[in-house]
Amino acid sequence: MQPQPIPTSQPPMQVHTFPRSADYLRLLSFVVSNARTGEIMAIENYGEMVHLMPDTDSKIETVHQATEECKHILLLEKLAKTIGFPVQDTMVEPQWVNVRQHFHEAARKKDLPACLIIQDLMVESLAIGLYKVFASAANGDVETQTVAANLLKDELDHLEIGIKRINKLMEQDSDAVHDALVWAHHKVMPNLFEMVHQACNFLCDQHDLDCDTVDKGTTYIDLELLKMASLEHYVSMLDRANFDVKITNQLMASMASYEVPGRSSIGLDCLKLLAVAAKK
Amino acid sequence: MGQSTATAETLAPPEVSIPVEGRAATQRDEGYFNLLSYIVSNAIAGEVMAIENYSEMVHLMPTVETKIETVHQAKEECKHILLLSKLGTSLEFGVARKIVEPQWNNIRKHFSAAVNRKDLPACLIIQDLMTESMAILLYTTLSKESDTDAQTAAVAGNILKDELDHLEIGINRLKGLLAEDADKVNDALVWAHHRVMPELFGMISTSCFFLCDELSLDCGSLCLTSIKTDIDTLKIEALQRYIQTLDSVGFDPAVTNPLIASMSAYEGMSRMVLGLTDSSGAPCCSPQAATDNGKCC
Repeated sequence: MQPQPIPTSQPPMQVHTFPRSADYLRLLSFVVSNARTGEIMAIENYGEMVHLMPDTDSKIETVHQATEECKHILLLEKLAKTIGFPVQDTMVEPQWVNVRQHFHEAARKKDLPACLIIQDLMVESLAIGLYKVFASAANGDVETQTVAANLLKDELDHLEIGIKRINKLMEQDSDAVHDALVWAHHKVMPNLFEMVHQACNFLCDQHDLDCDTVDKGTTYIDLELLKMASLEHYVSMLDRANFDVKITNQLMASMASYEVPGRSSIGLDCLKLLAVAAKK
Repeated sequence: MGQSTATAETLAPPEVSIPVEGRAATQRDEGYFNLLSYIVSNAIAGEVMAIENYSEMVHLMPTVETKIETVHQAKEECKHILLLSKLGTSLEFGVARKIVEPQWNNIRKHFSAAVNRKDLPACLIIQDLMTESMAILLYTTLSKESDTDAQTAAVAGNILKDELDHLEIGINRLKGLLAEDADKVNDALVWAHHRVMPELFGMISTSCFFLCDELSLDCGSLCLTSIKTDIDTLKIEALQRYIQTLDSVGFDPAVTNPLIASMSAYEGMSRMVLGLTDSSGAPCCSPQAATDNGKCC
């Protein structure tokens, strides 16, 4: 696909009550291009998972999940067209390829727990964090908010399905599921974390935009919030899936090393959350 | 990364209108329902295999649009499982909602081998052409209301439309690939033919390995006259449909004729049925010299 020029303002023929600055459109282009890539990866991941599912009903359920991700791709493309910003390959972060490769490796090994953990839990946690930020009432961009809310509902359902499936597998073989968690965490989470954490740098370096806080015209969108939302979802998901705290504590602690020195203390916050969960 | 032309609306399931009259209204005997139980269970197994095949193929598809189209095909196969299961419930015959017979697992194994090699032409040939051709034969047979019953015919007719669409999609996809690299596609056909067609033709039968035990049926009592057909007729129709499908794609007869001739080695597939010998058993011509439909008698 030929790169399309990023508009300096929204198209004049469209009348919006919500003003969108050039920087905000650029940020939307970045976020939607990446979200769409994540959805494309999701249909490939769910596709590869179908034959690993143990019965016909769960195969059908997985095809249904893939269908919903297809719908998301179309909704994101429609949003870009409606508002008037491009969906671009150059906006897509390179870590998606690594996440997909790790999933493919798990599928080839017929490691269903690892597949579920990567797609249903880890990737869906990131998606939920992303769509929650854009679906929040604080977002005055109604078109974006509506689409994000629509997608968020499906992704929350997918996370629930994933947790239910993982719980069932843990009843059968807890060690195998925990081994899969450890493997998937070390392979996938650094990529997902880097993608979120380095988003601003990526935009700064590649697209000349400082988006730590981007002026939308009337309010601000904070990517720091997205980092926190995604990680909090990951931590709470690990807790809700009833993974062994002895394992998850170590995984959480390991995440502190992902951070660039001198930046926010996400790792410690995660550990605090985990400590609260463990006390419960 | 092309933009998709499908819309969210096209992914929504269409309403399916099927008459529900119940078992008594069909005025058919126990033997008919036993046969339906056997056939529908095998059909469901084929649909389960299809959702696995289509789903596993998604990541090999070259564009976002074709990935979405393939997920949509898998979704339609899911709908077929639900329709066939509902038919069993409504007409009160048992169905196995899983793959039971080993031939389906063998085909799955070959398909997965093609996926692992990233051999998209072989995947399309196995699923979109070979399996769909057999599915079309099956649902065409069941959709004749005069030979079955109103509800079975309606369900089969509904599924048949989707399978014809899938065959059309497969033919178009393969035409595109043939134009890019004919040798690669022909090699894929030769490989897939020898691996998959014996398994598919082996299932045109009323015998089984495990299915009758699973359904608590006496396989020996199953009789295709209940739906006014017989094994030989079905085999000939399956062969004709397969040849027609290969011709529709535009495969070279020099490649397809030897493949069709090789099918005489299948159980119950005489050289006369294949059109390679006359009634005395004398060969009419060599496979290479046969007409475009593989016959020379």
